[in-house]
Amino acid sequence: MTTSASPPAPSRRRALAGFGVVFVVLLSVPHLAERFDFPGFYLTFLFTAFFWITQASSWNILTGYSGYFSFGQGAWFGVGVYTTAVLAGKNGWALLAALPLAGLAALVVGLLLGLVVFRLRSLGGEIFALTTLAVAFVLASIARIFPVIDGGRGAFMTSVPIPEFLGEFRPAMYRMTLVIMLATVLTAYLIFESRLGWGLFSIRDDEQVARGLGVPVFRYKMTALATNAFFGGLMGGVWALQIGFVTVEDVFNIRVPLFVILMSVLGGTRHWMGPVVGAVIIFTISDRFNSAGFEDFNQVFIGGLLIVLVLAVREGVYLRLRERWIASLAVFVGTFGVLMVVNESSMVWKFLWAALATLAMALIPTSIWTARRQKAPVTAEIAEAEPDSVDA
Amino acid sequence: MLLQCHDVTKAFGGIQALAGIQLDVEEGRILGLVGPNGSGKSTLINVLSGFYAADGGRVDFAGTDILGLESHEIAAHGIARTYQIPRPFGSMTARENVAVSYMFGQHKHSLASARRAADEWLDFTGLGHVADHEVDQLNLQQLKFLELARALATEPSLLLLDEVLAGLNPSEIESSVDMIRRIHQRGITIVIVEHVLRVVMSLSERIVVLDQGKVIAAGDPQTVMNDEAVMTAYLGGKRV
Repeated sequence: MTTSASPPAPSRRRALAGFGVVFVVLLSVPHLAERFDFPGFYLTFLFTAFFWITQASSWNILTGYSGYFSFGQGAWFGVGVYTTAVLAGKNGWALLAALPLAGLAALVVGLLLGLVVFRLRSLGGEIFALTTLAVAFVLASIARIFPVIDGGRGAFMTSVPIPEFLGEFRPAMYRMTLVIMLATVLTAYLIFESRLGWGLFSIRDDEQVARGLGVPVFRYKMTALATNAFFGGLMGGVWALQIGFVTVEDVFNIRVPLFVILMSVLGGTRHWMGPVVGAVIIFTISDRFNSAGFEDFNQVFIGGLLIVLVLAVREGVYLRLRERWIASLAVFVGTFGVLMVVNESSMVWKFLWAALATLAMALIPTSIWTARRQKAPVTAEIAEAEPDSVDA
Repeated sequence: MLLQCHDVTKAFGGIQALAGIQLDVEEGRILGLVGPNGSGKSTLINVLSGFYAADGGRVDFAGTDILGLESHEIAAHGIARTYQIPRPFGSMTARENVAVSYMFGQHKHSLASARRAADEWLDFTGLGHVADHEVDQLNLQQLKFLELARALATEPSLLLLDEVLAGLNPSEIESSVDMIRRIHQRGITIVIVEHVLRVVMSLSERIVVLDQGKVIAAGDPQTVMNDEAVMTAYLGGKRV
């Protein structure tokens, strides 16, 4: 009955229009920032959020949709970073020529991995997870060994010219990450609303049965893996610029895979919006704690929050908030509004407090929540009983 | 013949589960597959649906050798199956379970058309009123019927039923038998594996008896059940 209670899925045309509106609005932010003289860090904050949304959403296309748990996000990200670092940073390629190759290089690595692990039937999900983790280690060693790539000396990105039409460094980063982020989320949405998506969901639930019903599981898993790797790598390619001085230790570490998992699980892996919501929340918390100088405390807080939310809201925060969308909106806007009046802190802090207040509301268990709203229980019961009685 | 098995073999370690199966399934018929426990019935279903790779032999289905094909390719040729213990997609509603099956199966269909088709199959199997239910809210019979709806939604020409009646009470068995007849009336060929002999006898036009991985008898229900080899296999010889 939970499904029938949620609002009907909007038509694809409306959703696409929504993506268009979001794109136009977000694209105007750098102009507005310049016009109204916002502090520059807002743009950095936003494009870093775009980075995490892209990483989490692309991870979710593989792991959330197909159920194959991947630690490989660091590998796709790393391949992308090093592709632009080598081509643009070391060999003077134009940035926009190197970027597509960053995505494609990650895609090729992903497909090679898939050919091995998905062809061997005997490999279970655990082995897949371990293999994806191993890929990042292998790639890190390759980068460290070969001077062409890194050779242990790192690679500078500072001399890479940014195309003029993209503007200064910050607006340029903003615009590039925005396009990639929206392309990723749009892809996640389109897959979610397609045969491919439903094929992947059925693989997640029971791969053998899915295959028996005619789902081409190998091809679908490869497609999901390739899509994941491509967008992870593409965003990595842009992110090389933000890192500036690329080293193996900074790129191939556990941070990216761990964060995308936290973000997607918190937001919910069963819907394309889940990772978007999770990424925004966790990145905001982490950003504020870091800026306030509580870097160590940050991980404790995020870890604790994740435990509480996963136990209390198993389907992920996004679906819970959508179910209670009126209350969510009210709490969020209310908290934000009050803070606007009484508080002098930055917008990001206000956003964080409003988001945390909304999360607290999401924590109220469904049993209490529905009991609180028993206005018309009688009609609901009749409606539920009717089909049975008619059938009998 | 819709389906012809020639000398199909399958061993698990030292156990010969299928020791050279010869089997013909006529188009438009209901064939009952019976035999004592461990005689190879379920293994045969698993081989025919591509879940197990056979060790040898051929299976001609509507003119193609399907042995060695992946199970999704076999589904695309028009063979569907159900599971003895229902295996619905746990994160989906009843309607979504059937819709996925309709999108894939023998023909490709879009997501948009799948919802309506799913409702038709749910109505046909009497599950229309639980279409929006999560599968963990369904009882055993509803889950078994959902298996049927999901198999039918693949638009099969051959339906393999693996003990659909197991675990059901007498009145549920009766409605299930009725359902199987109605499926058959739609022109779908059925192979039914069943323990409840009385039911198989009444449903099937032809019965094949397996024992120790071999076909020991085949023919119309009456003749087969009076066959000496069959009596021996079921009753353990003439020691009584």
